[in-house]
Amino acid sequence: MVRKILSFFLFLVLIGIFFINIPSIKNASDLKAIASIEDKNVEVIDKSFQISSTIYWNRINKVTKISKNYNFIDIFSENSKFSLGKDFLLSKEEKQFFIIDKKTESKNYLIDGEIALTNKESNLFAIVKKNGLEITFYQFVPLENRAIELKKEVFSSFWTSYMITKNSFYFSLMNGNCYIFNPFESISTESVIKDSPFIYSICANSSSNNFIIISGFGPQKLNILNKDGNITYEHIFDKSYTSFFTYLLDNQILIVKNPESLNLFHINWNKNKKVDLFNTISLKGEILDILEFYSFFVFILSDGKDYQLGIYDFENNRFYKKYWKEPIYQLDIIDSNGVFSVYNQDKLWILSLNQEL
Amino acid sequence: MYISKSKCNIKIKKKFYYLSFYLLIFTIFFFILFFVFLQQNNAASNVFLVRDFCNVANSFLPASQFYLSDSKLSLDFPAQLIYNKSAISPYQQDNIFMNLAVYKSGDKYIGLTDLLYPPEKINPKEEIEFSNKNISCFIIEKGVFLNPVEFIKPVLSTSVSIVNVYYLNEEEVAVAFRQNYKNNIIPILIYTYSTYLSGRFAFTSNVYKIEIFLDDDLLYERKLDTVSKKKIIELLMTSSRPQFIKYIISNVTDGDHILKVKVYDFYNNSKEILKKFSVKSY
Repeated sequence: MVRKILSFFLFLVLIGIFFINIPSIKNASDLKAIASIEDKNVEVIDKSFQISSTIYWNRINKVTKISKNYNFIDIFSENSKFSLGKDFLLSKEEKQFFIIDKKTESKNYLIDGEIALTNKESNLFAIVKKNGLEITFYQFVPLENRAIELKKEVFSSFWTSYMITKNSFYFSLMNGNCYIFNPFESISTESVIKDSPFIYSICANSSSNNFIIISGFGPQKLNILNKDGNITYEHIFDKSYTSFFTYLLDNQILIVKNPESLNLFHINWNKNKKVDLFNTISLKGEILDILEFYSFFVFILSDGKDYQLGIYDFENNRFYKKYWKEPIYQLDIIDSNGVFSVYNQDKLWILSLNQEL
Repeated sequence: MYISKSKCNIKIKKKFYYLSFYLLIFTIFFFILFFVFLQQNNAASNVFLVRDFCNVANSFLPASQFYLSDSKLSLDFPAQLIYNKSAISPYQQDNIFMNLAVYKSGDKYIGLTDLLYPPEKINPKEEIEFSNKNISCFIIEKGVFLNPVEFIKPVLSTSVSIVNVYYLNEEEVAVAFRQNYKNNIIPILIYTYSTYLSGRFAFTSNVYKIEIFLDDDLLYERKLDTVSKKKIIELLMTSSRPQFIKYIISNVTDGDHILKVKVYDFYNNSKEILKKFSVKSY
């Protein structure tokens, strides 16, 4: 009898532990809004906040610079589409790409092309021709106010995803190849990944030349590869999906978003068991943009109809989400203390994570 | 006497004919020289060509574009959906296709754009519906692009040629026409979708014949009929870079011109592109 009571008690404890560890999904209704800007009309909610660095609000056909005391200046060209890099802007006018230095705003013709591939945190970028295979890699040099052509390449196939870090380019190709280019360490390879005829996603961060891919279908696999393109670890998924978003945070936490859920893995580069799934959150939709702070990452989630802002506190393993009434597409860090902007083409909000959520 | 006189007349006549002949040759030669001189004077001394020489519209897509009159298509093969992605945000402009579904059928990966509701499985003869009448399609088998036209032709009436051509884009060095013919280089990239392609690059040249016209005058013709098909395939297999021709053109007069490049494949399919350009002295 005592055994039965003890077993039942143990069972209750286990259920309790299970429920405690379930990732909590709460509405982040108390997320602190500092200001909202619609076109050039500002509604300041927290007057104590001062913009310390210029905000570059990409509105696709123009970029609005928001500086101290909410001063606005537009960078604009006729029939143009803008992309943001770390210290530069790219404007595409018809089929011509121009590079604009953020500081001097001087504008120089760069190349004719179709697509610009940039990262808001990097001065590396690439321009792709209409055929989708011819690609030119560049590095923007702020002090010299120009972009240096690093390399021209012809890919063997279209890409499914790409990642530009502070020092490298990574591409996952549809024909089962991966392309890596690190101009600073003269690493440039297009590797054929054995038994992976289709690669869905690729990700890496600036702290390592190792990278992670998701490939294959039935079974679908997660692979860690070294800079030579050799697989050093393989994790097989239980279920296959038709699309993925992957992102490797600076703290080596890997985010894998499939159409149904958000999965978080610890990556241990040097241990035998390199991938450790520590949280799965049922979450439908696609991640449109993501940014990371010291102990949080923030992302925009959408299924094309609803738009949500998701915040994950990975120190406390807690997840929050907030539905947005209007479409939101892009995120930018304003202050590394947790101040960021979220915007579409017409409206921008400045938010802070400093407040207890 | 009469005979000798007539002989003399014949000799004089002969001399006259020879002289006339030489005079005619001389005159023709002189006219040719004059014409060449005139042409050289008319030729641009220091001439530059418009940057727009390399029109992106002439660039090719490894994905062929098809027109569907009723936005529907039924394929002859079973296929399973393995990849499906659509742009949600207007900021997602960093991909070749705004929406793309990739199906697996045997060893082939078939990419289709603008599917209305990509079905998870396609059965033979089953109709699939598109949101657009103009769709793109590509096929990858064993890591290599195949010609989608041949694959889809049985179910589509299309006039798309498998041969394609475009001017190689060299933006950094504007293509220039100068009196010094060495600078008058037209870089032309020629490729076809080929089931024979292998190796790293998905496109290269397997052109059977190329013709270059300037203002409808044939300037250049290259036939590969002396090279066997097998040899060409071998060349393709061992080729490490896309093939292109750097054709040199000289003595281009001031004014507007039309350059036409026509390429033919083994099956005599042909495609031509026209390019207007202006030559100006300065």
